[in-house]
Amino acid sequence: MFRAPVLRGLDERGRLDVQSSGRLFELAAGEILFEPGDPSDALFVVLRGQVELWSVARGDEAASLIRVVTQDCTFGEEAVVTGLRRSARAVCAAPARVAEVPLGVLSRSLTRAGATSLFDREVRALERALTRSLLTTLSFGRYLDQADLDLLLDAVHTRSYAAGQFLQRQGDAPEHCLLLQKGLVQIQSEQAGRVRVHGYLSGGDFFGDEEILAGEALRYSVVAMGDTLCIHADAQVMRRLCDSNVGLAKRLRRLTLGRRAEPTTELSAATHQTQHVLRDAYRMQMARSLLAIDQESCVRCGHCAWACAESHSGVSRLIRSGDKIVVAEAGAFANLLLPNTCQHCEHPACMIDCPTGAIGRDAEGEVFIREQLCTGCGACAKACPWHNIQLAPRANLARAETPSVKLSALVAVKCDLCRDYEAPACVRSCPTDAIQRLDPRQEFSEVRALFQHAPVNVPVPASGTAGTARASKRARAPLALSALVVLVTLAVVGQAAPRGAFALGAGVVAGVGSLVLASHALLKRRIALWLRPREKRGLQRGDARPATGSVLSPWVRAHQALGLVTLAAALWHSGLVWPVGASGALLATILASALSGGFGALAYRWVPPRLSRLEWRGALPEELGRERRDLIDRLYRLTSGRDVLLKRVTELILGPYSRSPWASLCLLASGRDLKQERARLRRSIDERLEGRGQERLLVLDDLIKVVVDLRALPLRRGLTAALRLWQPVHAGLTLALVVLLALHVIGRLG
Amino acid sequence: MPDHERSAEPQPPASEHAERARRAPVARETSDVTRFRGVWLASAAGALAVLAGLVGWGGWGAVASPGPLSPGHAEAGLACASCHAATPAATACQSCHAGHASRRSGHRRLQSSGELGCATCHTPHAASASLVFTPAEPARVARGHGVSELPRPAAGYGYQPTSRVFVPLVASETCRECHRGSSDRAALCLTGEYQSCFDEHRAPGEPPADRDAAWGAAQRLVQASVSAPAPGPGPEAFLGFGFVVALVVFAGVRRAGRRRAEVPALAAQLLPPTRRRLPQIDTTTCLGCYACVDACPFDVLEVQRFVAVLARPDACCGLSLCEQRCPNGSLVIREGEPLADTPHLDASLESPDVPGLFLAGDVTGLSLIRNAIEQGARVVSVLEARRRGRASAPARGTSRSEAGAYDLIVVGSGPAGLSAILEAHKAGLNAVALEQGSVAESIRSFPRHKLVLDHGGNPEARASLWLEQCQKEDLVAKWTQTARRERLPILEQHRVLGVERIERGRARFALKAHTPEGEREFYAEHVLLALGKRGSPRKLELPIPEAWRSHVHYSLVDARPFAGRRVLVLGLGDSAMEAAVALAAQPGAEVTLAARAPEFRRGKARNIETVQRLAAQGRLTLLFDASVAGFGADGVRLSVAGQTRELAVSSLFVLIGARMPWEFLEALGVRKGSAAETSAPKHARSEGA
Repeated sequence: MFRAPVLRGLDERGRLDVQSSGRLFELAAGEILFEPGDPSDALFVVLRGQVELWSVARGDEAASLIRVVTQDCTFGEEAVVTGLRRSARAVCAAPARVAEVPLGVLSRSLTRAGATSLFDREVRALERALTRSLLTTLSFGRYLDQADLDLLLDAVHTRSYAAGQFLQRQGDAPEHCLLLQKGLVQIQSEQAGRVRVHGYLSGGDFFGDEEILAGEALRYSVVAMGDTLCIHADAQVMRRLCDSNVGLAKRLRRLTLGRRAEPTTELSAATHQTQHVLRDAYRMQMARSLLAIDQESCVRCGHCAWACAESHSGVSRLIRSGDKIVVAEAGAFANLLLPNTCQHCEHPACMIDCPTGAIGRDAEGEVFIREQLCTGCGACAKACPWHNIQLAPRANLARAETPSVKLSALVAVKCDLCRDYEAPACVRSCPTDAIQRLDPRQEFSEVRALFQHAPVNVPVPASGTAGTARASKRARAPLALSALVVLVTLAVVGQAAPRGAFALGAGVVAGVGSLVLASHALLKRRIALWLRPREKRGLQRGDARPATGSVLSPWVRAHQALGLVTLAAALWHSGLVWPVGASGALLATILASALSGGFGALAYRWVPPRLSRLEWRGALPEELGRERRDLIDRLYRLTSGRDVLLKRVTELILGPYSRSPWASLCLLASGRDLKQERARLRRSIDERLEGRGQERLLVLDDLIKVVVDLRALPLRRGLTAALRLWQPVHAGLTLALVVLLALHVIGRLG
Repeated sequence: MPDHERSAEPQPPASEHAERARRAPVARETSDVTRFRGVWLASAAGALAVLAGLVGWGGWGAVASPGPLSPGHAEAGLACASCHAATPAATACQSCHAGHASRRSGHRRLQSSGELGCATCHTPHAASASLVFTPAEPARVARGHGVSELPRPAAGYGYQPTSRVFVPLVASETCRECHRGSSDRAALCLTGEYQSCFDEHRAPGEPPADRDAAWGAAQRLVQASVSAPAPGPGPEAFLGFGFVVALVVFAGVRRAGRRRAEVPALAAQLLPPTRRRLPQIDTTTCLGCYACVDACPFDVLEVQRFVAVLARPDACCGLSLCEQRCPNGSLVIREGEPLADTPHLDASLESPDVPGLFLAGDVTGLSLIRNAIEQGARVVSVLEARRRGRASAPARGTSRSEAGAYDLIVVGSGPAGLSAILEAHKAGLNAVALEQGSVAESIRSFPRHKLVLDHGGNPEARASLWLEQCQKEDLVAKWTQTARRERLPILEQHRVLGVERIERGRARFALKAHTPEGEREFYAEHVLLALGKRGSPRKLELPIPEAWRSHVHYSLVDARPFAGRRVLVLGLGDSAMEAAVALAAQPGAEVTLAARAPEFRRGKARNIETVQRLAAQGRLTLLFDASVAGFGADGVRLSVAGQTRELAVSSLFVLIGARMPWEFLEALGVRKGSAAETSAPKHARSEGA
């Protein structure tokens, strides 16, 4: 394998690295290795057999054979330029053995060995071809003839930028025209000390020509929001081109601010607005499978995180805290929580930074970590801009370690979309169908508008449907109520019926129903019952997993309905006179269990919308405990060393506001959300001050935020407790019910 | 270019995005995952407890079997086979109790149809009770467990039997199984524990028989005094027992889990390294993963061509953070020659040459804020231990006037000094801290928003002074808050000019300090020098006229008041460049950066680049080969490349470096390393121009 030209320069260590991080595939004739448009992360070397590359040339209809790859030759070189997609289809001609070499490992090993000349030449050639194709998409590029185009291609150079770096700064003299190859940049300007955001540009956008031709200083700065690749064309070259091509200047149309990130007006009118979906536009661009939890259906039970941990040897890759965004969706607004979990980026920073090539990407788009290659260095965790990767103790350390191979105690873990199972465990386990994985560029209209010209052809491992779940939930409420009414009536009517068979029958129904109700716990906690593993071949294509919703939520609804039925049957069986002794205890337990269950069901419906109004970010219950101290610390820090007026306002208005005992309940009853509450407080302060002293109260808005959060905090804790604490009570009572039922039955039979 | 108002939530400028994280987060177990841990085990334990309780209390009979025979049947000598040989067992009653058919029409109808049998109301097993009338003895109650006395001795029930008679009692509950509801008139009769309304086996109007007397007596007794058996713990009680057991098991499982999840703490280091320690990297195994680069607080390591290299070995602190973070052991710390330029200290951080003099913090040669905090606290604990060991302890809270001597004077209020004064205050020592600037001056000078790393160690200790992985502003705020809340005796703007050894009562040291009110003398028994490595700022050689005194600054705390002013910054080190950049960012400020050097000599590349860019844009004036010649009425006279120039400025920042604190130590006699002679300290060379 190492006879291939690109790999020839590898030294001993390089070969070891490539061998351990690569994968071998055995292909039968006719099997497809990759399709055009697939993400390209690896180079392929044919070890045995033949592979054909087919592609559709422009103007043709059918694919034509481009190249036949034989033994010891490489193919898939477009991977050397990050972000480039496959341009051809690789089909196996004769039974072949193919080795996949991840690009990250290859480039590192070649650099260490000092043998990058071939590699660099490949990179340069590909970049030139890419720039040429990019230029021809621009209108002025099509206008240029070949000689001028070649001149331009020779004069440009590519630079990459990390997040936060400036491509150009306000006030500098214009030196380049910039053409973005990939990435997202933000246009901002600094006015009177404050930085203002004007819009975004992404791959394929071209700017800078107007300033060059006008010759004045730049009026705005351009900052990279993530890894960005940008092609710089020198100003002199551009001017010469314009001079030699009459009419070119007119054709230089800029399309920058046509795509500014302007939120639609309907979103501004949304209630309990948290953050706008474009607050982190880079995240929206990158994410291919963003986990979103609908905060108005989520009952904060944490079953998703538990299911994730259960299916991944005890380490959960999902932590239910993170930013919240609001999106417009079919006339309604959804408050979505984006928890800290991998979103399977289009250009995964973790994969690029991994030194051993342990992070790879599936044909289905899932980014996964191979634990046997992971050394626990943490580079991926530091690279992820949203901290979605963590380090955890390695599972099966004792078993996997041998005297010759020393494995690290820690490995990086992250969501892998449950690639070993038939569907993501989190989605399947949600009792209210609140969690889903979606592609922001398809599901969110604002994001779609921002990136409308970008191709969306990466296989998206999405699952779950957005809107239908909510509609079905709304229909359930009157149904449940009517069922309750019917059943209670039946129970009461049952008293008039003659005793004997009917009562006994009702008793049997109640008994069986109780057992089925109790088994719900078993159902919820035995993952193997609803999450089946699947066999995954290395090149699984075509049988992408279908979108699925939650498996548990219909069972939860059935559980609630069955609970009502069982309660009615038990009442029918025992009659309205309270039995004594063990039977009385049994009836009491049934009633208590049903009451707690009913409380839970009501809480599930009533609490989440109110809770989501009071939260700015999603937080776990243990974090809520710490939050009070943090808020008070922040309050202290904001007021220390400030103007006397501010301290007076804090002392007289904000302090009592945050400490008032019934305040939280008032907030709950009023139905205001955080934004409205802040505005109300600000208005009341302004009224008291009658507009004086505004310049001395610059941090008042931050203070108001802290104080309103302080007031909402006990409410959040109480509501979260209401959602979670009834479950152990209910489970305990049902267990007691089962034991008592057994005793009752045994006593009756004996 | 058209400008647009933000119409919704402001979007943050991308240039303020956080830098790449330097520490990989470790997975933590959230409450979602641990919430129901132990529930299965606890439930199983509870269920077992219930069963064990029932079985242990009443034998298996309490669960399944009806119990032992009633005394009447037992006395009659019955065994299991006597009744259970016939099927159904209920028909066996007729063989002895013939003619006891029911006399009620309704019951008789049910009896003939087979729905009502003897066993429906009576059972020979323990559940039933009966009254026992024995000749010449008072009446008793017979239950499954034997015969017992009546709860209240009854007299005059008027029946003297001739032989032993058992009158079975039927519990009302048995009747209520059929006779229920308000529409059933028979249910109205069922008052009391036992059915005593009527004689079932005697039709109304039948002539009385001998048994009637027994029955009538039983009726009177029941109404008077027989109460239902005090029930033994029924299943409900065992449920409670089981629940308690389940709770205990549950709590036990959770506590065991919590103990397992604690991360073992690293011990803090107290003494500086004695030999020069440098990292050594094996390039054949190094992955280039940046773990060591991110771990190093002093930017000693860099990654070049995907392999780590030692870029600035002079800045290495010798602590092995990089070695700990290396994932495959490619980086090891090698010890080299002994270090000669750290002060000679013993294990309690006291100088063996100068008893009573302690050192803590950066000045000892040990880096990292956490270690400085530990060292400061350690010194105070040593003093406390000594004080306890002494026979005569001086009274607490003695006057703090100048004439008296302090137990401890702390010079400097950085992390080490602050920790020491906090512990001393808590321990009740008579102590004071003298700080030349303001609290936490050294940390304040860190670059804005610099991330202060957590390097492990016991998070519980010194919790009031430490924050995990915070920005520098948060740490400074926390320290200021602590100092204010605990009312720590820290005297700011007190610069210690010299320390002398004296013999004056208890006082062994005399400190002379320059305060805003003039010079003061302090006397102390122990002195802790927590001077840090920054030292005191260098002053201008020129005398400063009175009018300019308040306009000459030696550090920049907040640039905002200087908006719209003309400022001159002297110096070309990192602090001077950063100050000039911060001032130039203020709207309307005119900043001149002047330095004696002819070109940029030192400092971070980023600072140099920023200054050059601002100068090119005209937002900053850069002057090389410049020095201050004198002060004018509304400006400063600069000598630039030999020529004098008047510069109209309203404020002057002198940031030309610092004077290292070695003079204190040498004057007192503290030796360095293990060398007896004092060599010219390398650190005395200052930064800046």
